[in-house]
Amino acid sequence: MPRCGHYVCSSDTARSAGFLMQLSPAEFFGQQLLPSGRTVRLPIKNHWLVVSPAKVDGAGIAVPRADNLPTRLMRRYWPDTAGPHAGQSVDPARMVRVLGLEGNSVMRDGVSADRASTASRSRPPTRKSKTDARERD
Amino acid sequence: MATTARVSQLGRWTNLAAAPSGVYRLASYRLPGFAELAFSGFHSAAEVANLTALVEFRSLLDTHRRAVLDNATVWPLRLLI
Repeated sequence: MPRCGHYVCSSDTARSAGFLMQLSPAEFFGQQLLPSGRTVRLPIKNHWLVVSPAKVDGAGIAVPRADNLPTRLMRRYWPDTAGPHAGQSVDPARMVRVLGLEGNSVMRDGVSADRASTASRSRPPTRKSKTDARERD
Repeated sequence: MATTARVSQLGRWTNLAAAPSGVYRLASYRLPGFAELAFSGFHSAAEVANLTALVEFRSLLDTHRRAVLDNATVWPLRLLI
């Protein structure tokens, strides 16, 4: 049984042990200064994109300031994503100008309580579903 | 589409950062359409239920909507078994 840090990834049963995801692009990572004085490279949490440069420098966080993707997002969409706990918002509508209308729609479906139903609605209707709908009517 | 991947097929992985972050970069395992992959482990049954629903949601999307989701987010792709 392989060990993954403090997790145990079980491969001997059908029990799910974790999940795969795509790795965020390199521009979303940055150097950060730990309290011990050691520097590590970690994903930059998006709330660091919207704090003052002085505060960022004080925390030792290397937030991109050039005209790259995170900075462009912040500059362009700040009015829609600003506000208390914007970085932790669970309301996809707050990110509509970042994700676009379609991306926002998919996100909203994905985090809704009835995910399977909303995903199914994106498929073209089948002959059976049309028949079922007519019978219901 | 597939919703699971086997831990035994992942190959080598490294911690994403010098300090334990709970996320691990996969050295060679790839899925079509993604440059690099990472994985994280579960801590609780609630997490398993939640992530299972998210992976299943993505698997039910048509190709276009799945691409929109993948371009905008780091959505869970597969459950590890």
